[in-house]
Amino acid sequence: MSRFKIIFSGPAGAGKSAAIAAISDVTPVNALADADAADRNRASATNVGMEHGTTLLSDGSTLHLYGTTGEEPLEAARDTLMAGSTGLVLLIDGSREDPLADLVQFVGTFERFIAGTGLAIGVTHADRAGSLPLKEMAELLQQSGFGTVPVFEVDARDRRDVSMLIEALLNLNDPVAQP
Amino acid sequence: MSRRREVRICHGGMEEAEVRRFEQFLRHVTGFECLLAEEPEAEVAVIDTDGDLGSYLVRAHRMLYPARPIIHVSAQGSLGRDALSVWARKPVDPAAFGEALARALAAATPAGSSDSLVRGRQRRPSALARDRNAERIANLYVGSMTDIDVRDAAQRERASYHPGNYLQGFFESARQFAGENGTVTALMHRQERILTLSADGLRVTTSLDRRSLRSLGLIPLAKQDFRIVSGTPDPDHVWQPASPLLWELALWASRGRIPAGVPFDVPVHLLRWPNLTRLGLTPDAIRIAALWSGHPTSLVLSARTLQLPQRNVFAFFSACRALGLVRLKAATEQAPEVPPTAPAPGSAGRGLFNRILAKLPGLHDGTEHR
Repeated sequence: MSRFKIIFSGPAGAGKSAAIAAISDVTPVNALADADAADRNRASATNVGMEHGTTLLSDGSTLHLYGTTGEEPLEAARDTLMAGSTGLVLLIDGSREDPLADLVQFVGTFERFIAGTGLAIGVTHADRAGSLPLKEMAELLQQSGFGTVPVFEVDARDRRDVSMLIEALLNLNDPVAQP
Repeated sequence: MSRRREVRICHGGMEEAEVRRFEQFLRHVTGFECLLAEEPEAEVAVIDTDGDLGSYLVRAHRMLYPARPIIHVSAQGSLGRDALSVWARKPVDPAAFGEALARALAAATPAGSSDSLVRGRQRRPSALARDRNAERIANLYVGSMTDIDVRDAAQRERASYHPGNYLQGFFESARQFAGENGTVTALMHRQERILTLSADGLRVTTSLDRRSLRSLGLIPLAKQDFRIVSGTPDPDHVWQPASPLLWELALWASRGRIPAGVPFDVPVHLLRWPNLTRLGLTPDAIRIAALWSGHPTSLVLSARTLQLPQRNVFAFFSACRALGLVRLKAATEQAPEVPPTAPAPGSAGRGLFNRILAKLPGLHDGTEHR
């Protein structure tokens, strides 16, 4: 059976694990160790390294959902992870000190990959942030040559929110396809 | 002892406390077992038409549910002159209400109630699988207008609306007033403040419940009844972001049409994606947004390319335009339009797309703003 994958990335605590868990049919597996103490106060179940979940599609093929901070020690490892992926869902914690700087950093990390696939941005933790810089992020991406990227406020635990990010990502790749 | 007939009833124009009293009252209605129901499920609507907004509530309800009988509860008489309007004079006792209910049910057509939502609409096979909630939301946001031939001026007129005649336009004027004067601004209906905008126009409070707000948003308003004034913050209500309200006001006013003067054949470019997780989601919004973000396409060609009813495209455009998210390409930028092409059927990308979307939870049918 075929295997497909979507990559989730973003800073620690942005909600990658929660987003994957919201979509995955199985409890996601955390590949590496717990986050360091500094990050632990941001999310009780924050992990660094790679997370993995799966969901079974109607024809029996599997959609793999990978979460990564983009900090793989070897660039080759990241390339392996990205190979054949459908696109990147980037989750940015809107309550951090400078969400725009986080966006720039992560988009830079995945720039080559994004160019060949697609990108959707979910901005999380609106409850702690007050207001979210959705417009500023969209404009920054536009000015940086990434085009009109979907930037949504999301609750990473909410299956509907995460699904919408994925749907936007898929439609960007192929807007004419019939759902 | 004969069993009382069950009737599902929805209400309009009542304050929260009145609704509670109404619910108590319904338990004693002569001859009927009355159940307070959600609007789409109701067989009969009961609207208190004595309030300032009574006529709007009745007209909006009639627009959404043309085959549903409405009981006008009023001390002054019925606002409706059609066969489906029944008057119950205040103060109403359980026996009189039972009689009014019997008359209302007798007036209803056999195919009445919530089924009227979809009457006359062109239905695609996929729509048959939609749940009732999706039908209701699609009807609220995009209406039921059939596709038009844009070469026909009369049909173009039918597919256009003037935002300034609707609450959308009053809201936009109030926001402009706030911006120009740098003051908190109130939109008044006669003596009642219905909306308050912050000085920067980014936040809003309203004294209206959602149903009343929607009723006002759906139908053209009498301009002489409304005015915009400098105000003070409304201490009884909490500030909310203005964009979600304006988005919905545009959808309610549009109902599948576009603002008058907007050309149907000029490519539309999406400047930014609407924050669709926090706005009322119209049918096919994501597909349309994706198309316009990568390939500016005119309204008519968008509908054709994506194989959608025009009303879905028109409604989404109208809401995006209200928030300043779209731009029409200038004549100097235009090249002859070439429709984006679909991948070959059965291609790997398309197959994956379909399979993943089939797994995602119900995003294609529209979701009401939460």
